[in-house]
Amino acid sequence: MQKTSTIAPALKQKHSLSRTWRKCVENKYLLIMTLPVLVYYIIFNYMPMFNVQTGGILMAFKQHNLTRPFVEWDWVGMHYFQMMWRRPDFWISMRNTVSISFIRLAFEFPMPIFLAILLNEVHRRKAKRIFQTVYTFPHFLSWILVIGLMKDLLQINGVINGFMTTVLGRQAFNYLANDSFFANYAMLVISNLLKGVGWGSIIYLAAIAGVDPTLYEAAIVDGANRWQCIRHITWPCIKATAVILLILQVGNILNQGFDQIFNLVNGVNRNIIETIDVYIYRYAFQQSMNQSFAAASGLFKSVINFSMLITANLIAKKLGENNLF
Amino acid sequence: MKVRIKWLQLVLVFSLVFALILTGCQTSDDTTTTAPAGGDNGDGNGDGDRETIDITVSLWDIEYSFPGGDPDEIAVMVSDMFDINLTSINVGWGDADEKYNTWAASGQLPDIIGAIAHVGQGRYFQWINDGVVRALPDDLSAYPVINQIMQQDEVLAFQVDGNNYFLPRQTYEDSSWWAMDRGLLVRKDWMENLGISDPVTEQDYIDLTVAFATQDPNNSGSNDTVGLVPSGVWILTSQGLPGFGYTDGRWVLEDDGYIRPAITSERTLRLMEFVKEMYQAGGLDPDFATLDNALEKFAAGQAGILARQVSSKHLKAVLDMWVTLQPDVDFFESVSILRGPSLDGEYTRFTEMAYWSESYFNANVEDDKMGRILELYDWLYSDEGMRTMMWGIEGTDWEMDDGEINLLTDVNEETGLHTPTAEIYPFTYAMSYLAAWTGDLVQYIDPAIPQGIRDMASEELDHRLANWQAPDVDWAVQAINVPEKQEIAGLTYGDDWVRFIMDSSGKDSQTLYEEMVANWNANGLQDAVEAVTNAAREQGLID
Repeated sequence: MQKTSTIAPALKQKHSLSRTWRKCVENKYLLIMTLPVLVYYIIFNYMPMFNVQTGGILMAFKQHNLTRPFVEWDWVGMHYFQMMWRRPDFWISMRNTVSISFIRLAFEFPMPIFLAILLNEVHRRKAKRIFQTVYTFPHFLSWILVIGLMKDLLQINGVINGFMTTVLGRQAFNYLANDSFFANYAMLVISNLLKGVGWGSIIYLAAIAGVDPTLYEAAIVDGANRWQCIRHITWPCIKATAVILLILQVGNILNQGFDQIFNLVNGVNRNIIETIDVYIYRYAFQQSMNQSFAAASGLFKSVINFSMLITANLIAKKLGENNLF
Repeated sequence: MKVRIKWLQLVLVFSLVFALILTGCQTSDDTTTTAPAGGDNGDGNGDGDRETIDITVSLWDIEYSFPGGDPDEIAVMVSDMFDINLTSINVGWGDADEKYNTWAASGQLPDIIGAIAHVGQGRYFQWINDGVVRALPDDLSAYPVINQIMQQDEVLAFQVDGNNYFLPRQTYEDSSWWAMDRGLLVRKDWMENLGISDPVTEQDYIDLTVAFATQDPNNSGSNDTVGLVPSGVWILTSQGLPGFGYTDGRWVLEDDGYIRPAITSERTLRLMEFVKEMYQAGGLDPDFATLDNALEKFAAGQAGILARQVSSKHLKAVLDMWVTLQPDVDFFESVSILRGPSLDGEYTRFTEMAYWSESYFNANVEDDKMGRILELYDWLYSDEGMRTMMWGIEGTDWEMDDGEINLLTDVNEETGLHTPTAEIYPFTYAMSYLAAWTGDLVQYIDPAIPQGIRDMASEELDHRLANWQAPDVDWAVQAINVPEKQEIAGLTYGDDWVRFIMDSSGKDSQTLYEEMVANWNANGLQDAVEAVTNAAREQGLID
């Protein structure tokens, strides 16, 4: 009796291993395709974290020195974390980062899904391609260029204010330099959507492309209209992708677009839109050079992001949705 | 067959990916060498027996001095004179700091690190403490011009353990010349159109700027002008309006016995109250907080007052743009210099160290190479070096005529200007500002700048030097290095003042100021003030 109970799990494990191996062999090309990504993460993310010469993440706990080897650097404990935490500016940038992140989740995250569904409903192939190209193109423009255009459009003497004052008779508004939470966040969201919504929709379009067309045909035969097809076929089929992307987005809660915000931040809106990345850049690189401070800030950010990722994944699991691990 | 093709595709994809990774990881090769190797040709001062030494030099836009192809005559001359082979490593104005940070961390700094202005800042002390840069030799008597330059107070103040670690990029003969690097240019023709005489009081200035913005001063029939446009937010506090005392960013001794950045003082509050009033009245360009084209606006006839540098060289920059954008409007008939309102009739000059930015030298540069570098700099600092870099070769491109420079180069019939030296000798483009900002140093005698501009600037400079106060800025105080001071380097006082100007909360100025001070102190300002004051007392700089 005892003998069978020890052999059974071993057999089960062996069976499971061979099944995994079989799956790997079956999907070898897909797995090989992921190798470059793996190499990328190893080289640019994991190796710097565990770099023996620079100390990797341990740099956050030591006084950085440009010429001496890492082992000779002085330990400073939590000095750089305390330096970061004791500044009100840091907490303001944290507040801004989290606020912007949630606003992006609420308003930016669903938009690529809507766009993908809308594009899917365009039946003329040529029109579909044109729309897709038009929406995707801005992704390839750099933020510096986009913000240059925004400045020309949005400044007091710009095109939009010109239209508002001369045509609509409204008062000019300083969109680029004001202390309104609503105006600043709206500017961030709208500009990011204009630039990225087309690109973001590609993954959903790919998911939609994988939906079996017979499902639509059957639904139409049963009398379903377009809205019902979207609700009962398209959405359930892309929901898994959306949940995974949502989990990933939550895991990026403290990464809120350095380029966009760095180029938009100014004296008036700094307390509203300066994020943790811009704050780190300002203190660690712009005025002086302090790699240890930057490493401490980066580590702090990563720990929070990782915790958020795990939490979001757990919630998704509890709700019976797809999850990462 | 199918499997083979798949494998072939995979191999191709991988080759491409790894090629891209390797390309990304390879060392930057943003270098050009044009100066020819080889010994002295007998024409220069070089010692023909000496071995030619390769020197890498990095500076903003230095690539324009080394355009490739055959080196120009001056490049060959310099190479022969000092038996050196210069190789350029370009950095831009926007990426120099990041590049240097990366190169310093990876031990790839060039021999001459030129595009840097960090004396007294955290990075300056870190580079010295970490052994990234080398000290200059103790005995500089072999380099007479350098020896003299290194005796300036603002150079001596930054010695570390009695050693000099940089050569200053000299801007002016002495710091008083900075007086013209802040000022106001006004459209005097617009004032005449509106029947407004020279403003004196704060209210006069507000009325003038509002009139420029609202009363169609250019008679265009449309609302297309603004009042005062600053070339940057910084100029508003940095003595652009000099009648409110010293309000710039340098640390000065205040009446309460503490040394603090003047920009945080109550004097600056008084100045900003004036600016805020102007903004609220509509006299300050409403886009001032985000504007980056103030010069263009003024030169295109869209602004009544421009707050900017008003020295000879900078006035020429305005003129150059003016003749392009408003060729029909005579610059000299239309523009004059204003001095701004004053609280008590006194004005305080803008000041800086007599140099701006520095050259550092890689710790790996050996003594022989350092000797050649010092020879090169000594020559570039000298009258001969500066004249060569500015105007070309004596006798060919210029000659001395009764104590004045007489250019012999071709004159463009359309513009009436001489062919720029850098067009004839590209080598001089950036090399003219390697050791010194030669263009700034000679700007009041430079024949390439129209006489009318030079007269306008010289007259105002003389007035300022004779009548305006020099601020009490002690360079030894600026050089104090305490951790508390380095930790507040990221504070953005200027941004906070912009918020003060544009505040719409309805709070009174004093309350807003107190909130700003409280925020600065919470972020470490008061700790830094106390640390710097104590250090100054210990060093005997204050009582």
